[in-house]
Amino acid sequence: MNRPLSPPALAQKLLQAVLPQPLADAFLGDLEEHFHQLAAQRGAAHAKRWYWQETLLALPRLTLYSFEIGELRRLSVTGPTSARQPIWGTALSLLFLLPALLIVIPGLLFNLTGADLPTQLGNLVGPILKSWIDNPWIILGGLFVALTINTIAVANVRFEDTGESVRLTFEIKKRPANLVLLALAIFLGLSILVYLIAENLLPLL
Amino acid sequence: MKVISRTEEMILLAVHALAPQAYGLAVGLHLKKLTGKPWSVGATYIPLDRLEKAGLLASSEGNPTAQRGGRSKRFYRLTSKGLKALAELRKMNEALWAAGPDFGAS
Repeated sequence: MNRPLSPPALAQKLLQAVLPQPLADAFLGDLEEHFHQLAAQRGAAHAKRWYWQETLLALPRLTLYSFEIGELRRLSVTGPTSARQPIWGTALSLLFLLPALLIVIPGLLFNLTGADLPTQLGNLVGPILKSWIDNPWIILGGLFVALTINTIAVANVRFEDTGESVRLTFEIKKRPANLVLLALAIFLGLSILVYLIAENLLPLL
Repeated sequence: MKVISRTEEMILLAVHALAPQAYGLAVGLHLKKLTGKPWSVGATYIPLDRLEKAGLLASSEGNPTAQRGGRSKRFYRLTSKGLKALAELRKMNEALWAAGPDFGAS
C-alpha cells in the first residue's frame, strides 16, 4: 500500500523552529498546498525538490525576522547571584586567553607603531615562557577554552518540541564580563586567522 | 508617511488585485506571473507581516483544509490606511516620473 505523499518532515521541522508563531500555520499550509499541486502536475520528486528549495531560501530570512520581532530572542535580566560567573571563572578565562593576547597585541602594536614589543617581550618573559607563547596549540587551545567557557556563560539555547510546534529559544544572559571576554576571544581568534591567511595563503596567489 | 519599499508596494497592489482571496501563496504566484521573476513563499510572508504590523493590511483566518495538512489560510485585505498609502505612493511616483525620461519619443 502506498503511503500518502507528504512534504519532507525534516524541512517542516526546520521551518517550524524559526517561523514566527502567528505565521506558522498559514506559511506551512501554503507550502503544503503548492507541494500537492506540484506533485500532481510534475511528480513527487519535483515537489520535494521545490519544498527543500523554498525551505533553504526561507530559513535565513525567517530566522533574522524572528529575531527582529522578538520571537526567538529572550533577553533575561541578570540572574540570581548564585548563577553569576564567579570571579575565578573570569580569571581562568583571562589565563587561557593570555597566550593569544601576548601574540596578537604586541603584533598589532608593532604593525601600527613600529615598536618591537615581540622581541622586547621575549627578552622580558624569558626563553621558557617565550616558547610557550610560540606554541600554536597552546594559543588555539586557550582560545577554544575561553570561547567555550564564556559562550556557555552567556548563551542558553533551548529546543522545545510541544508536538504542535517546535521552538528554538536563545536566552542571552546579560553578563558584561563574559560578553567582553567572549568578544575578546573572537577578536583574537579572527586576528590570528587573518594573520595566518596573509602569511601563508596570499604569497601563493 | 514612511516610504514603503518597492516589494511592499507590489505586495499591496497584489493583495488589492486578488481581494478577497489574497493569501500568501496566491500573492506570490500572482507576482511571479506579472513580473516573470520567482517569488518564494518566504519572500512574500515577511513583507505581508510587516505591512500588517504597520496597519496597512489586515488579515483573517479561513477554514483548515486537508490539502493544506489541516492548516488554515490567512487572507489579507487592504485597510483604509493601506489604501491611503498606495494613493500617496502613486502620487509620488507620478511626480517622479513626470521629470523622468520620455520613452515614447524617438
